Amino acid sequence: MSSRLPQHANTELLSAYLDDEVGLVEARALESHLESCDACRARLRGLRGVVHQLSALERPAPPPWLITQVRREVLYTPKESVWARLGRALMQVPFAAPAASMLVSVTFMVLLFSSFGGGIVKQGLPGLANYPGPVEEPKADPNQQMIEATSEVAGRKFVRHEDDDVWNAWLYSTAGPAASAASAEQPVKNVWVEQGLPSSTTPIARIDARSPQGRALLAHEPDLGYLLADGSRVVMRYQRETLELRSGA
Amino acid sequence: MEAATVTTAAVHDVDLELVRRHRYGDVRAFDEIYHRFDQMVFNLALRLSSDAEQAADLTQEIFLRVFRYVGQFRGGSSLKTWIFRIAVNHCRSSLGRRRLPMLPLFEEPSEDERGSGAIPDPGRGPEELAVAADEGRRVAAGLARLPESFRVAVVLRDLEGLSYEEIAEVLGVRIGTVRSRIARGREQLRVYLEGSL
Repeated sequence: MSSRLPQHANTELLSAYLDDEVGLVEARALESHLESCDACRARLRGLRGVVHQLSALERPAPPPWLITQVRREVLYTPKESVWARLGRALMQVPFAAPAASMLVSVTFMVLLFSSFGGGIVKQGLPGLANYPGPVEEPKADPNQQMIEATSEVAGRKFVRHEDDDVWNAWLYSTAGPAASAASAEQPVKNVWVEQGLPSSTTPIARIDARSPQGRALLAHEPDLGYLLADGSRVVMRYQRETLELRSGA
Repeated sequence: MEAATVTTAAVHDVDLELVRRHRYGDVRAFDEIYHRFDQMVFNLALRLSSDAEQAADLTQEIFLRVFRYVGQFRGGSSLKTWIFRIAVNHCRSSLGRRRLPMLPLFEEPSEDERGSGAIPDPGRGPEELAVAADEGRRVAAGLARLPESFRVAVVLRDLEGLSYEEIAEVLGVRIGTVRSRIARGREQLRVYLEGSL
């Protein structure tokens, strides 16, 4: 089957033809027309030139520091909960917003004062997303008054200590009171200690992540950056020695 | 055609596997998503904002949204078009508040606008490279002058290589509309480039 174009080809047809986005019949008709129409051939050439120039445009890579910044930001970005999604979906229904807000208020009050509410209060509201934080759920240790969590990074397991007293106690037991006092000058947020590290070992060096040694270490084990991203420290074995890595933030 | 279908299905499986790993807390999954799509997101943001610094900010914000919502990705489309949809919507809403930069189409580009050139080809001599760079700047300046709807369609097609069907999915419009926007964008750019010689 063949057909001919009644007049000159329009730009839309020529442009789609360049992209192979026209049907077979349409394409044959256009090709037949182009054989005898200098004006359409010239326009097609012009458009092909534009496409060629566009495809030759530079496609720069994003700045290399952007991934670090994104990782840092996602630490504080909670994943959307089921309740938030449900709420958002409800809000898109016309006239649902006032009813939904009333329902949410009533439900919240019921939960707060019912036996379920006790559960919420005891467990606490959902906090930060578990990316890229602990793999296991944090569990409270009533005896030591600290929250402990573990994270598997760079093929090693790390235990998080949130209480600076624990860190000081650990330092005291390993390096003595002087080190403990020096450490107390800077408030500790989190300390990730590699699991299985002998408690008798003292870090032989404290390395700033921004220093040449720190950068070299992170280049070798980039995932450690996850643990450092919020200003935490990491105590780990490296080449048979114990090191402390600081974010320097 | 069969090979293309197999490839698409394989990519789709990789997408779903990445999302599944992300849901289960695998920290590397999001990194992989970032590295697969960072360049395309950054370039889209760069062509829509015409400013590298702003494009970096937009890219960061887009990936934060991706991180937040990727757990909801169910594979109804490819991850690529899903992320492009987030990127386009975010650029539009973010730049729309600051007015999406659009320069008058028939005006000589200023020196400041000449930031993005053509890909340097090591096989060419210095003069040829200079000509190519100049041509790249003219094209980038012309692109920055296109109306936003045409510019997005042209960028997705000619710089990012999406099919008309994929672009329609990203923009939430019919294929006929995509075809029209691309054609009109290219035509306006052709006229601009001929006039700026």
